[in-house]
Amino acid sequence: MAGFCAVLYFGTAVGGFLGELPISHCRDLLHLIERGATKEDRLRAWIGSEYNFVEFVRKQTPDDAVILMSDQFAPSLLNPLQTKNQAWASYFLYPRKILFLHQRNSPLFEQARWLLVDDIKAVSWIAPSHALSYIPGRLGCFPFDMGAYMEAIRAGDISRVYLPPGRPSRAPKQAWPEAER
Amino acid sequence: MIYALAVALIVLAGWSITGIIGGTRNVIERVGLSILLGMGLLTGLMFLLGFAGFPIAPIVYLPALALFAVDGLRRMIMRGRRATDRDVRPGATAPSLLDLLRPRQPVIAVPVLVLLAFLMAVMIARATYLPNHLYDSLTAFDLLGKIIAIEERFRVSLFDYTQIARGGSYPPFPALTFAWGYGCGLSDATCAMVLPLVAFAAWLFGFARRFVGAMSAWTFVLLTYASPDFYSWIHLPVANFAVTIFAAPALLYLFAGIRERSIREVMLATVAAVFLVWSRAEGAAFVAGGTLTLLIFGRRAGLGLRWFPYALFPAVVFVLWQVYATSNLGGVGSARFTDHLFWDGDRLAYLLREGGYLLFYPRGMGFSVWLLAGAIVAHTVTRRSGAGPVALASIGSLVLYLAVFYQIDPVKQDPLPALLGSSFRRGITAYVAPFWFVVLLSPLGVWGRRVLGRMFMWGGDGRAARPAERA
Repeated sequence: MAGFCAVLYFGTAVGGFLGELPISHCRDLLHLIERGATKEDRLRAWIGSEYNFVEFVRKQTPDDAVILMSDQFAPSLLNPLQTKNQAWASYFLYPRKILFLHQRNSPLFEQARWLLVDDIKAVSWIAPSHALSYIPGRLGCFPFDMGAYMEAIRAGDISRVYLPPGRPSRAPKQAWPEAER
Repeated sequence: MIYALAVALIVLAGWSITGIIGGTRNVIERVGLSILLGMGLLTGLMFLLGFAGFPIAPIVYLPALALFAVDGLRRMIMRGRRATDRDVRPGATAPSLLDLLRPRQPVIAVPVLVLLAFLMAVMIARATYLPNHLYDSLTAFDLLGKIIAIEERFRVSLFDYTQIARGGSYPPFPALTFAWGYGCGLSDATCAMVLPLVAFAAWLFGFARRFVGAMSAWTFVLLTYASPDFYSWIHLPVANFAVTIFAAPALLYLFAGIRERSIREVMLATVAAVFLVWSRAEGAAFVAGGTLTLLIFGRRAGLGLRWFPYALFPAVVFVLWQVYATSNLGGVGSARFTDHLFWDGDRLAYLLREGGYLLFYPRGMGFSVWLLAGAIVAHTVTRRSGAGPVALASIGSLVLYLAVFYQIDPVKQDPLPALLGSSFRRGITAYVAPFWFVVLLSPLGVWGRRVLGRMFMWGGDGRAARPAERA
C-alpha cells in the first residue's frame, strides 16, 4: 500500500510538473492518501460541496422518489451550466428520477412528491418548517403533496420565484473570443 | 472473479479475431491487439443482444462471447492447418519481449524500462484510486453504463424523462465498457480503463518492434506515454480514450499493409476502424484520412480495391448508429453541427491559430509535433518514404478533425474556445502515437536511433527491420 501511495503521489507530482494538474491537487491528493480516505471521501474531495448536497438528498428521499427541480436549480452550487444538472444529479441520485419543472407533460410529473429548492424563504406557498434544509434557509429538499401545490406550480409560481426579473435564464453564448492562455 | 472471466474471454475472442485475419505473429502485439479488439467485440455483442431483446447481463453476454471465442479459435486452428493461408512474411515473426531477457542488454535499457513502468504504474494507480469526477463522463458514459448494468437494456429509463440525449447518443463503446465493468462486479468502472491502458502499450511495442529494434520500440512507447496530454488523459474515463486506442491501429496497420503489400494488415486496420467509429463519431475523420492514404498508396502497393471494406464498414456502422440513435434515443451528437457548408474567415483563422498553438504546445503534445515537422522536412530532403503513409493519414485526418470543429454550431454547443481547450485538446492525443511512429521511421528517427545506439551501445536495432525492409 505504501508503494502504491508513493507511486500515486509522485506520479501526480510529475503530472503537475508537466502541466497537467495544479500543484494544489497534488497536495490534496497527498492529504487524502495520508488519512486513508474512503471512496466517499475521495469523491467529496474531488467533486466538492455538491457531493454533500446529493448525499443529503439521497438520505432524505426514498429510492423510488420522483424529484422535481427548477430549471435554474442552484446554478452557483451544483453547476454553472444550469441545464445540465439533470444528468449530473441523476448520476448520484439514481434510481430516483429527476425532473425539471418545465417537463409538465411527462407522465412521471404527477408522481412527483419531492422538490429541490435553492431559496426556501422565497417559496411563499410552502411553509419553511416543512423543509429538510441542507443549508438552513436556503438550499433544501421539500416533501410535498403534488395535489396541493399543483395549482401553484401550474400558475408559474416557481418559475417566478426562481427567475427574478432581470436575471437571464441562460448565460449568453459567446462567439469565439481570444482564448485565455 | 466474474471480471477476471470476462477479461479472459475478451483476450480469447480478440486472439481468435487476430488469428483468423492473420497479418502478424508477434505475440506481444497480438495479445495487446486482442484485448483492444476483444473489448470492442464484447460491446458490439452486448448492443446486438440488447437490440434483439435479450437482457444486457453478464449471464447473457459472457456466454455469447465465449461461444464466439470458441468458434473463432476453432476457425483459427482450421485455418492454421492450411499451409497456403499461413502467414510467412519475413518481418512478422520478430521476437519481442524475450529480447529484453537476453544477456548483454545496454545500460540505457534500465532507466527506459523503469521510467515506462513508473508511468504505467501511475496511470493504473490513478485510474483505480481516484473516483470518476469528470463532468462529461459522469453525465454520459459512466451514468449510462451504470444504469445499463442495472436495467439490463441499452435504451434505459433515463431516456424517457431526461434530456441526456446529448451525451447518451454518443456511439456506445464507452458506455458499454462501463456497463460490463459494473455488470461484472466493479464498484468503480474507471478500473475498466486499466486493461486497455496496458494492452495499448503492449500493442505499440509489439507493432513498432516489427520495424525497429527492441530498445527503439520501448523508447517509442515511452515517448508516447510521456507526452503530457497523453499522460494526463489516457487513463481517464472519457470517450477520447477509446478513440486513442483504436485510431493508432486503424492508421498504423494501413502502413504495415502498404509497406508489406498485405491485405491482412489492412483487414486488421478495418476492424480497428469499425471500433473507432463505434467509440466516437469524430473517429470518422481518422477513417477518412486512412481512406485517402489507401486511395493514393493502395494501388501502388498492389492492393487494388481489396481495401474498400476499410472505407465501407466503418461508414455502415456510422450510419446505422446515427439512424438508431435518432429514432430510439431522441437525437445524435451530430445534431449540434451546422448542416450546411459555410465560409467564416474569422472562425477559420481562429481555429487554425488556436488549434496550431495547442498542437505545438510542448506541455500538451510534448515535442511530437515539432519532431513530426522535422521528420517531414527530412523526408522531403532525403526523398525516403519511411512512414509516409502514416504521416499522410494522420495529417489528412487532423485537417478533417479541425473541419469538424469548424462545423460545430456555436449556439447549440459550447463556445469554440471552451471546445478547443477541452474536447479538441483531449481528441488530439489520439495523434501522439502515430506522430511518434512517423518520427521513429523517418530519416530523422533513423539518425537519432543511430546516434543514441552508438552513445548508449543499445545495439540490435533494426534486426527485425531489415528483412521487412527488403520485402
